[in-house]
Amino acid sequence: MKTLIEKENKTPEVKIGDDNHQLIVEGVIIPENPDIFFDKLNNIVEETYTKNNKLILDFKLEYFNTGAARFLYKTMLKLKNYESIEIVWRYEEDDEDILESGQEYEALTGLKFTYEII
Amino acid sequence: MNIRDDIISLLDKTLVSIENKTIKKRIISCCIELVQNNLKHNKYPAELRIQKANNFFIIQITEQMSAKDIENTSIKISTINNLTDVELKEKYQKNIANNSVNTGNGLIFCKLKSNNPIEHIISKSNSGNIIISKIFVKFRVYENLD
Repeated sequence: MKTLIEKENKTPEVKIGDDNHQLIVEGVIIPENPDIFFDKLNNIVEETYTKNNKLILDFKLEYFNTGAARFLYKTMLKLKNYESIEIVWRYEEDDEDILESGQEYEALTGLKFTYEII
Repeated sequence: MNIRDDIISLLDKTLVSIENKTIKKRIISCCIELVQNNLKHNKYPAELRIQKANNFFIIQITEQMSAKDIENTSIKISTINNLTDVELKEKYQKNIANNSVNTGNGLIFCKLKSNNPIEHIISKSNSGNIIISKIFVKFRVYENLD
């Protein structure tokens, strides 16, 4: 795995799997201005998909603020234009809020989510 | 420690006595929303307090506001408190889908996660020139043992 965006206090780490088409977003997304992080993430998403014609976007999020919630939606919505997309939404077994967030995004975007307990 | 730098760690230490992980996480999330609302929308700094009272943890954010901002905040809170949870969730998701900003999504989030109305107290300084807003978000965290 290779880190593409380093983890910071308010933004997550983004890594790419050895298969080169799985992007793992892990940590918190709570910056006051989410656009800076999401511009980087969206560029990486587009680049990864363009190279591989497929993408797994794997989320392991602990917290995200309501600002980030809007940008997450926009990132996911762009994926509707792609084929061979998989979204993995990871959550801790007792974290009903993160699970519910994933389910809401799935309903809002129409994308298919896979849920994994961590 | 600067709250802007590591707010989660600071809050985590403050709330160490809360065993219920879901509640603790919701309190932390709401604190983040309230603090960031202040940072984004208000030129005056805020004071954040978390206190335990009987069976509740109460988040209080106190900030000086302009008369216009106070009015806008009051209207938002009143609207939010008068909506059902179903209506609030719909409104929240609609704001997300429409990429709407400054719509009170942070306050909607706090109402949904706390499962209690948001309280809002407005007061004026003795001179009447300074208007103070106090927002309270209450979380029930303990079972009544009586």
